[in-house]
Amino acid sequence: MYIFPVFKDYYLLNVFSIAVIYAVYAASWDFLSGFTGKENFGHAAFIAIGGYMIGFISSVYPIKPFLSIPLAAVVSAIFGILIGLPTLKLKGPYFALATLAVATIFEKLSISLSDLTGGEEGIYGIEFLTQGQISSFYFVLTFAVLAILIMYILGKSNFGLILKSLRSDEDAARALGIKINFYKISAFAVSSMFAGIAGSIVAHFYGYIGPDIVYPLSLNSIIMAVVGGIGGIVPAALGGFFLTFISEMLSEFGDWNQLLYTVVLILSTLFLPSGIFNYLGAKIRTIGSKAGEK
Amino acid sequence: MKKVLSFLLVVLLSFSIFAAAKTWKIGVLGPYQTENGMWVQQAVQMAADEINADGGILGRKIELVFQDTEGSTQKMQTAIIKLTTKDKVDFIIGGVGSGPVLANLDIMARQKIIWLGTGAASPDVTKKVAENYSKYKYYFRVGTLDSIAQGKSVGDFIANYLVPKYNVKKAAIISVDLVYAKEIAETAAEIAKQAGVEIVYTDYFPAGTADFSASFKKATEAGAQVIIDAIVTADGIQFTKQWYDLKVNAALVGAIAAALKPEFKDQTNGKCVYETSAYPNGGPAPLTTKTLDFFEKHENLYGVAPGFISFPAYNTLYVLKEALENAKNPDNDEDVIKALEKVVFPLGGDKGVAPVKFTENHDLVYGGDGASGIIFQWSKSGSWNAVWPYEYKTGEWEKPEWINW
Amino acid sequence: MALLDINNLYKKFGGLVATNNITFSVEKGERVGILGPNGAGKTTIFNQVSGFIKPDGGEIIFNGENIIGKSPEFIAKKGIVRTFQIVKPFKGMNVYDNLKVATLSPKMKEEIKNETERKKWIEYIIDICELKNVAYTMTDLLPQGYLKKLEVAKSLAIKPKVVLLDEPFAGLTHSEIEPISKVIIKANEVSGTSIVLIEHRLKEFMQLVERVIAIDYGEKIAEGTPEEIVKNKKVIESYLGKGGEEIVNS
Repeated sequence: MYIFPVFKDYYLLNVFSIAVIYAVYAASWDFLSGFTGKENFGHAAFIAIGGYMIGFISSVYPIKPFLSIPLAAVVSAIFGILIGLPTLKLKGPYFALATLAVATIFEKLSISLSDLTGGEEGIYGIEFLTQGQISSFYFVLTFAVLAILIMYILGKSNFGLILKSLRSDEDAARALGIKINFYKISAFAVSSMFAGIAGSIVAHFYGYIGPDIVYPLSLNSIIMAVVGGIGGIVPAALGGFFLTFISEMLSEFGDWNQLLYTVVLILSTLFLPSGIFNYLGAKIRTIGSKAGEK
Repeated sequence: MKKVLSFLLVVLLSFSIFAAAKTWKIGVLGPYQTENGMWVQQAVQMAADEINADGGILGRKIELVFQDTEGSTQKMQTAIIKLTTKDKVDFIIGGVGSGPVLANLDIMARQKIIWLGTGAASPDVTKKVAENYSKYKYYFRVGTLDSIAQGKSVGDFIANYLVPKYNVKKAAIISVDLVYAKEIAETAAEIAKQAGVEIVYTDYFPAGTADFSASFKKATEAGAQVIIDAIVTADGIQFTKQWYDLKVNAALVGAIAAALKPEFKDQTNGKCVYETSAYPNGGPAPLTTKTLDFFEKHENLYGVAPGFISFPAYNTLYVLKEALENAKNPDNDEDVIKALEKVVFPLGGDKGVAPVKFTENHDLVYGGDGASGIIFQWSKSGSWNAVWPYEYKTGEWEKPEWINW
Repeated sequence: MALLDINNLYKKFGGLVATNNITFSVEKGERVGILGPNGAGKTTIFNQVSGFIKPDGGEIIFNGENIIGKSPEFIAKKGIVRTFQIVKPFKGMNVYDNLKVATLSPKMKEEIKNETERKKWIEYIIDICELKNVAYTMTDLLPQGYLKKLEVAKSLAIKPKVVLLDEPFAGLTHSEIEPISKVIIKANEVSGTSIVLIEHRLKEFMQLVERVIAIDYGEKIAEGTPEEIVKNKKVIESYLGKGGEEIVNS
């Protein structure tokens, strides 16, 4: 099914595993924000729900991934709905601010409720995903492929088309009788669910959940999705995958890596504002159709 | 005869080339974009250069591979996997932040790599060694002191100096709301309580707070004579300045990370006077015969004084050197671990720049001739003095003149 | 009883009365025009009937049911659909998909059973609205004339009983207006859809509508056939000016 990693290179395997999880972060951000235009600036909160829930349970009962993943899916979907109900009525920057606030509250709470969350030290000792690195990699890869595929199919479906209509104009959709709140909440639930599952998988992958691996993700998810290209799941996912990979490869440059990473981001947003992989996709399609004509 | 000699020469030469090629490859973990990481990088480099100039360890030079952990668990994990599988290092040293270090102990155990830690202060780190020795025996805390030991040194100073000398009866806790800081403050308060001090007010503020006047007011209104603080974030600067400006009627005693550097004086515009903080197993005091020289050399070499993580970071390579030289087989991890467990840099001795002695759980022995916390105070004359314990003092503790005890 | 009865509709914004007890009705299959100067409150009436603004008083009886204060989604499902003065195409998708969104509304979900039927219906709308040559063009690339047509097409795609058209001809040339006008008449004559029209292009307006309701400052000032309205003194004063009769006669 997969290209067997010819590299018995554990380092690359590790980077790959993380990169595919980041692909899910970016794709799940895209599902809500790229499709409906509701820019979520607090995606980390939804990742945190999955991760921390597994952490809480683990501190009393060593929960295994096959149990915790469905649990994380349900809880984070419900959480998405609960946060979505009051916030999705807000327009433009107000929604962005509200989600930013949610993530900030989460971050503060996970520091100050240290008896429960371990504070800045996080919760460790969570069951590992699997025993070996190769099997962990396949686990993560399988999940990521499935998650991205489901979101892609949903995005291509009539459901996705309605979400896209909301991005353009909610009033125009309402005038036709589209129940916009239902669709926005559903998009929020799906986005939150996959973010939450990814969060729980990350917790199992590291055997740890803490503020350092969660809260920078609000901004990172946006950057990865936007650089990859929004509104199509796969470009955003590829953005997540490659930016994570690039950032890791650049760490060879020591102090320069942050700067180089930023340069990559600026160049891509300047010259390919619709996203690197949206652009490449369009290029490939035109070349393909030209070849077809001949 | 000539032929034999030249043959011998060739053999010797090739042998020495072979010997020179084989090094001790050591991975160094740190968040190099931050001050903590810089301290690790600079001190480790300094020690490695010294050891290499002196012929290396058992004739093998030290080769350092620095890997930036960017303060994140994820980057640290990737770094450890890269160091152990790609670079194939012999040992890992460094690691700043308890969260990432704790999370990565399992990766260490999986990769079976000896790790001399420098910057994870949570007691839980060595608790893991205690819980499962055979799995986690690879980790040694060369520094810094854990938060409990840091709290002890603050508490001891209050209980054994302030209480008998000034008859202090009431204290308040005002600290940043982080696990690391809370543990320091609570341990200090516990020891103070045993000496008869009542804790009359407690406030944990979130990192990034700008105004502490309400907390100071409530503490003094409750009758606190001493404020026990533990502020590991940069908030300590504003905190101290405001305390000085308001002439708060209670002494500041505790652990403000920012105060443990000469720059603190400028950062507070000189309003650091009378601030008192514990330095965890380091600082410009004669902990060993080499400590003060190290402090000076670091300042000359890098233009900045070493920080509290510099001491253990520098020590790691010397600890390793001592262990390798005494190990039955320095290429066998089990033997090296046994040798590491026996390493002792006594307080007041001539080994290392801070005392090192391991407990059976690979934590630092605190007290006795082991690791200790030194209490420093910024004096009225502007100097930064070690004031406690007496053996290391370079000045007398001064009571803020506005305090009426 | 008429299809749509509006009784004493009242709306106040702060101190300003935007709709002052307006009453009128629309029969099935009728083409009604609302006339009035800018700021008279025409669009505000549309906003209230379609549910985008909650009225402060009155009744809106549609098919025997009072729908006042209901949500736009509810009202659209009942069969009243509006267009917007400033066109609101769904961007980032083509014309076909724009119409597809309309067929995914709850009203059409009940009527369309499968994707083949959906496709046929969309193609029918594309056909009668003369959008065939741009069916697969992204709306972001369409000129104003087509966007206006699409705006009408989207509203017709949900098989409405009443369409509220808010200035469908604004900003268009004569040659662009004609096809849209034809579409409106076709929908009205073929499907019996009632049309309520707001328009400042008086010539086209008067030719299209059968009955006119004239309003000014939120009040109804006259009602009648186009011929009657252009002769009405109040209407001439407030809106038409001297040339009114000429327009109707031409």
